[in-house]
Amino acid sequence: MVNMKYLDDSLKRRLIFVIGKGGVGKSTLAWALAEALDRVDRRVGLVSFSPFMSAREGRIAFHSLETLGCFREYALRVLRFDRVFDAIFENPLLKAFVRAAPGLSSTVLAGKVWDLVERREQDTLIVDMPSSGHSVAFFRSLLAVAQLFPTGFVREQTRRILDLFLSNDARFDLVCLATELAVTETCELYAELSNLARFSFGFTLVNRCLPNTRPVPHLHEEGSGGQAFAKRCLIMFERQESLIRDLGTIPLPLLRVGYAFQTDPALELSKRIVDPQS
Amino acid sequence: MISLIDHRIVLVAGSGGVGKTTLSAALAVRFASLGFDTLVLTVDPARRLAQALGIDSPDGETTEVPLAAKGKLWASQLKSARVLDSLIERITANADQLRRIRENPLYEAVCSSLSGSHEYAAIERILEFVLDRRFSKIVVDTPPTESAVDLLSAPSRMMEFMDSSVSRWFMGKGRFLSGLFHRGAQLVLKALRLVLGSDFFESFQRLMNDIQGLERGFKERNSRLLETLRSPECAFVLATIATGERLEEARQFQHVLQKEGIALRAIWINQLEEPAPELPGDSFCRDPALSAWHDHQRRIHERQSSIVENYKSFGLPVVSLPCLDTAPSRLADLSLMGERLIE
Repeated sequence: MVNMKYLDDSLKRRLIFVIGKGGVGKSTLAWALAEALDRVDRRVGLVSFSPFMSAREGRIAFHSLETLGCFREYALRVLRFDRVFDAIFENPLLKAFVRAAPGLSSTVLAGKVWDLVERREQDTLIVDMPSSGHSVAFFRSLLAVAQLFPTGFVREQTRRILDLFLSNDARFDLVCLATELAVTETCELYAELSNLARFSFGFTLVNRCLPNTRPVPHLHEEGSGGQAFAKRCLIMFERQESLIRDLGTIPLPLLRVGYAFQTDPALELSKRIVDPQS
Repeated sequence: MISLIDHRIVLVAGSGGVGKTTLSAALAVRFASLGFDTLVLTVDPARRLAQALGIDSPDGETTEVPLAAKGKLWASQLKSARVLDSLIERITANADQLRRIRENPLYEAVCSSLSGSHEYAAIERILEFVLDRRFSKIVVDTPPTESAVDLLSAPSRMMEFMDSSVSRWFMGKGRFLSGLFHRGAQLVLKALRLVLGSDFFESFQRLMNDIQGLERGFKERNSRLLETLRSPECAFVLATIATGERLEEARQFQHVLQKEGIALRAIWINQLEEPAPELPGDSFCRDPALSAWHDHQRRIHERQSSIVENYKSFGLPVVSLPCLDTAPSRLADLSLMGERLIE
């Protein structure tokens, strides 16, 4: 399934964004990569913006980022007085403002990601991004804010963040499924992101791929269940291959990830990343 | 047991990639063939489905779908990109206020990034159609959310932003000086300006000033909206697939609905694989590739079946739907699918 280049390249990065349409298995693949890096003794952190994600057992540092908490952390550095700050933070107005102010949420969350990387408590940070539309909005508002405001805190933050995000230390991976809808959306996503800025893209991961063999219908008796099943499998396989060819418009190395059947799919896939023969 | 047929409005919720749009369309076609005049409201549908429904026109108008059925079928497509914009347009008092709002450099950013604005505008749009008595059934394909739960929290997040007591703090100086002077407010504003830089802060303050007065419109619509969602004429259905992640999300969705006083009426589990067939004994010797496929199919089926059992423990009607080889491109395919959704 996954070749060694995936692991090797991941070892060279400090920040890896996992991006894709909803329901393609981004979180599972993000955790799988984190587990794989952990297996080869890298210090790994996983960042999630979803309030429903929780830490897994083991050594991987889990960071669940939420706008308000990250904003508090930032503001504290600027204001310096905890007492003043806490008085302000009990104010519902401020909470509403931070959640609603355009671009602020992206800046604050991205700023925290930047900070986690700079602190170097982990060698590699993997970011499980929200589904495609939300991810594009995240990066777009970050760039918009940088352009809209020539001075001030927000500008200062975005410049440092973009320096890191656009460097070779960062990598952007796309996760896809071999379905028509997912392939179309992944191609659009790639186009939109590469129009925004010169991000350093890594791999297109096609999740839940079928077995990589071709059944041969004519080996089975005419009209037998074996022939019918072989024909059906072959049709499914050819359809998958044709969709994967469509993904070829994205100029990135493509990795096929097979199904995971166990109750812990991330763990199962991480073993395959470290040892592709398994 | 109450069936979906007893409700006028059916909201189909779920994450992206579960086939929500297709299932919503299938239900609508089924309603029409049972003799109900039905509207299906869908958000950015896949091209082929849009063509099957006859709504590939770019204008997004409500169009009648040519269907040989007892009831009529209309389809309306919501362009998620400009929904907030059109909402603001409808509730602004005059052209001048609208122009000022649109000219603010932050407005574009508000439209694209204000959390929950798309979800909010989509469910808000239901109100218009609810009042239209031409439709005896309305099926809403809700916008794909990261998590189904986001959809429901959107109105309250939007209200938090629009709430007059909150926006008042940001209004122009005039208001602060005229008696609303408040030490806490001044402290907050000062701190924010310091943290954010003055250009960002002032742009935002101007925008809030211009939006002033809109909050009443939002508030009114919001309370009518919640009333509609809680009323017995409205039913929520969760469209999902048999993966561990979606199962967990379904649990949370049911929980959130309960807190809001809304009942979940059914769970539709889509994209289920068939069990691996029994094959003649020598099949695998003849064709070694087939054994990998057979094993694959068997394991997927086993995993999915155990997840389906978990969904059944919710105590709700569960409909299992097979994985289709191709996305349905004809009304006949949708009609067939719809029959499984309503007995």
